[in-house]
Amino acid sequence: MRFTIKDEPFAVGYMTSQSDLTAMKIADGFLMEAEELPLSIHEEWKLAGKNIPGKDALGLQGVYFQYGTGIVVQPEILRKKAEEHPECASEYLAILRYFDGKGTQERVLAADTLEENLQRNGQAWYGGHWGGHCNIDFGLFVSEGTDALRAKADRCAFDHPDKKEWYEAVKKSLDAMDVFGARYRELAMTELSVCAPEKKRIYQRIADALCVVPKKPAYDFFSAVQSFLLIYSFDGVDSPGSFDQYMGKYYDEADPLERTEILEALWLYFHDARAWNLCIGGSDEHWMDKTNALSYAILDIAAKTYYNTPNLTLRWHRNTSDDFLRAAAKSIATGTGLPSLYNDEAVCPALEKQGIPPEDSHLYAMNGCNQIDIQGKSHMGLEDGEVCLLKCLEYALFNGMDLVTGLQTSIHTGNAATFATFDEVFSAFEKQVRYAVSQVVRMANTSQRIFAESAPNPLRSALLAGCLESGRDYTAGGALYNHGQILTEGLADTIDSLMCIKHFVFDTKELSLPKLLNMLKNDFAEEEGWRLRLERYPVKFGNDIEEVDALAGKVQRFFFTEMTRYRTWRDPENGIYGGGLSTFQRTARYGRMAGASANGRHASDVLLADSIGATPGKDRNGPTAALCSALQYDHSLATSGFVMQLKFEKRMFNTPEGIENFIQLVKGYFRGGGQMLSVNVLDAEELKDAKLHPEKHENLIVRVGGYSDYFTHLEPGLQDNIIARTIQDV
Amino acid sequence: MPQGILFNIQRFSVHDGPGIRTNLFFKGCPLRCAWCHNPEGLSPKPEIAFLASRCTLCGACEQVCPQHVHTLAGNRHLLDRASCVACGKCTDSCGYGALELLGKPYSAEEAVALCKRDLLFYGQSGGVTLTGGEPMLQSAFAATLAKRLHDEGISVCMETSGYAPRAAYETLLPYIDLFLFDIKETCEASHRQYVGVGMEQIQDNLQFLDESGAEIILRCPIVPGINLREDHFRALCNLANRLRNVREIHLEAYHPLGLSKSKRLDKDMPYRNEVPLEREKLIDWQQKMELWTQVPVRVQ
Repeated sequence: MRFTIKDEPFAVGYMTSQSDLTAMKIADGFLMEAEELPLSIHEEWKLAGKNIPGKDALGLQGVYFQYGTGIVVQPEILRKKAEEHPECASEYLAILRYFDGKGTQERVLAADTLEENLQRNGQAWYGGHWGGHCNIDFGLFVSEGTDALRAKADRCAFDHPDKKEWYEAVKKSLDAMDVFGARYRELAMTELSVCAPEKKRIYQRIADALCVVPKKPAYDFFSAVQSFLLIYSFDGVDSPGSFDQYMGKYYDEADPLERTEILEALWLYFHDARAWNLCIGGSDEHWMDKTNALSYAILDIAAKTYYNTPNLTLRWHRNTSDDFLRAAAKSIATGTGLPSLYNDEAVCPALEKQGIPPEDSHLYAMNGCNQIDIQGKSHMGLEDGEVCLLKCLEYALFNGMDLVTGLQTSIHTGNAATFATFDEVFSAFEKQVRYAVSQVVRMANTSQRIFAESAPNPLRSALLAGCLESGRDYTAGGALYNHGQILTEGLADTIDSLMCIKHFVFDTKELSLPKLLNMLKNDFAEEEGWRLRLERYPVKFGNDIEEVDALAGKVQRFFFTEMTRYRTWRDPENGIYGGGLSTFQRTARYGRMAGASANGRHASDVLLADSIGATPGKDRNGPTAALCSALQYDHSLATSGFVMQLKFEKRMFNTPEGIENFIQLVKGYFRGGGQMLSVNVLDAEELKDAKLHPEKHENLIVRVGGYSDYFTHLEPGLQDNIIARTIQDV
Repeated sequence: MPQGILFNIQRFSVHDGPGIRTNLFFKGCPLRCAWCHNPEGLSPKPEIAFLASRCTLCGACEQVCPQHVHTLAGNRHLLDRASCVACGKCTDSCGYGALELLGKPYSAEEAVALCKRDLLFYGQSGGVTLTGGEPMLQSAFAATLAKRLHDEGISVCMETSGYAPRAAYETLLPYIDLFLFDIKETCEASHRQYVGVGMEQIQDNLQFLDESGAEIILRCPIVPGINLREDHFRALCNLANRLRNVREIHLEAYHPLGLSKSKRLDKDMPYRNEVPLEREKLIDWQQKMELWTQVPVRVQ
């Protein structure tokens, strides 16, 4: 079929491909996109980068390719286009027929067994479904250019004659970058001839740079940023990774005024396009500090713009200067929560435990929210799945039945009403977790296979070490490291619930298990007194109380160790599953789908612990106690982000002493082995909410010299004083 | 082994001495400052705080109390505090967080162990601050604690009103790295009226500490209608100028948060001002004071 339409370039390129190889079809889709996507150069961006839907004329596509979701098919858009353009209707409908049911994620869901489907919908756990973030080697692209990469592909192809066509696909996707750049160059030349004199500089600079990049190596900071943005935007605006490392040398040599202008323009693009994770600082394998002038410039710009994107992360280690943390504090004080702080001393050893050598473990960067990858060398940021531990406890208490849906969703682990010891409860919980992990891994591995079959990415494969060398796509395990990452939610709720069961059912025997199960089933109907006692029982995780913290460590070690027994589909020999704990909006969904829990939480309460810290509001002993509790987890088992969140009043950052205290706190946690800290500024809205719902905010402490009190204990008028003071500070 | 009564152990205290500190609040105070913001620190004995807003009138406390302190009459919960022995049975029985036992006995071992839990965070500058109440009212316990902490290499600050026997300060002196010495008033008559005692012993102790080479920060609560006067600020400067070891003067703006606590204890505070003193006002005074003294003045 011959196509005349221009607004479905990926689909048309894919369908008209002369090849039977999926990677080549996708490369043909890339090339046609590069040839036909509408382009514009925004004055304020001052750089050429792919348009952003909503911002300008980049129309909706019925079929497109996205790094994480693979091939996406939206039948309703194709149908609508067919209606609106009857003269081309047959073309749109042909696309629809061809791609219907071929969306990568649809294929993954269709592969679910009935059982897996139930679990996914019950929000107990899920696996796969998402192809993952990745920190590709942007530095290689910028410093070598596509010519050199194509030459490398040719060299490698020589060793793998059976993979010849795949290497051609890689080269074609690099050609697509050249075409994309050349079209932008033409556009810049056109703008140059019509624009106002004061704008000429901007278009001239773009046109000049695009004479050279992306084919040849970048020659200065602007050409490097321009080359980066071409591939970064075309690839789908994922995570730049250690931007200061691969851009630092160009930045150092650039004119100070111009480089600031370029950086600001790029940050605006990041903001408009909602860039993911960008990382600064860090150490090499000898613990030498890699922080450079650009690292500081990035903190400056983050503090100045207070954009909430890109998700900025800072790597700390023993030789990080306190000045760097001071600069970070300035940005954190703006209330964006950025940068997040990572500890090389915890992350690198955790990665090395998985067999990654130090020279590579120190190249880690974050992508997405908090997934950890080795930039340019690994594909581990898939978020292969998630397990809601609280739901596992629910299954343990109800013999595999889902309290919210009423369906038998998990395995039978015994009638809990007959359990005579806490160990029996814990053992049933372990069995449920073990089963959950086995299910998640199975689902994730099916998904990995489907992504490799239907959504290979030859462009990314050119920029991940190992792929060209092995002739394997990055979705099929071509990169050097292919570990898996499974995340969890509701950790503290689970621990607190277990603790309440231990205390009230087995230690003091005030409550029988059958009675507790009944209360949970009925969501504490007519048992508000008991619910409050459970909720207010003070031995809760996050308060540096040994008994409950030890239980927390036991739960986490069990769950995370269990995962390491499994291997990924992408690398059945060395691809180890590891764990992390990220904060996502998904937490609320898990909360909604979880029945009442033994920590006094109502059924479907959306507020679950979304970090490794306490159940929201239950860390009543202040931040150092919360951090001490968090250090009872084994952070060396966490190979994806293990997020600990803290909140402070803005006024802490207002004085040099306050900032020094903040630095001391961070360093204390990191020296104690903590992996990651995310720091937010308390806002007045939270205090207002605390006035209305004190039980959710028992951790808010008002501190004045020589005085402290819980915010929720204050008289309403005095609470208003504090609220007013907080508004004033922010 | 001496035991002490503490009413709070506050980790991550950042306003009471340098760095990140653990505050040990000693129960009991010999003074009666009209504006006291820690009224739970006044009585040396444990006592019960009652948070009326949380009480559901369930009656659990009434049932467990051997002293019949709690009476539920209609929709009111009355406490007969005179008969209370602070046994804590009622606070354990209350599922609603309406009752809290303030003041628990600690051995020095227990208190030191709690302080050591934050060793990771003290760094070079942080440590432990003994405050209250008035730590010197339990000076034997304070001395044991300070020595133990000192031996562990933990910095110890002490906030004190200065109203205690000289001997107590002599004992503590070797173990205290920094005194946060309260100067509440510089006019003798006003001091007697609003603090309840004269200034002589306080000033003598300050003089003694200074001559002994102790590090001192003067902590000066500024309370509208009591000591928010030019002559007071001038006198504070003169005092600091006269002494050799005053490192800084801290002006602490009055805040009414203590009123909330006093209500929970059924204590009437003589000074009932619900309006906090604006920091900005003190910044004006700080600037003036900097003309009158070389000692750095800071507004907390």
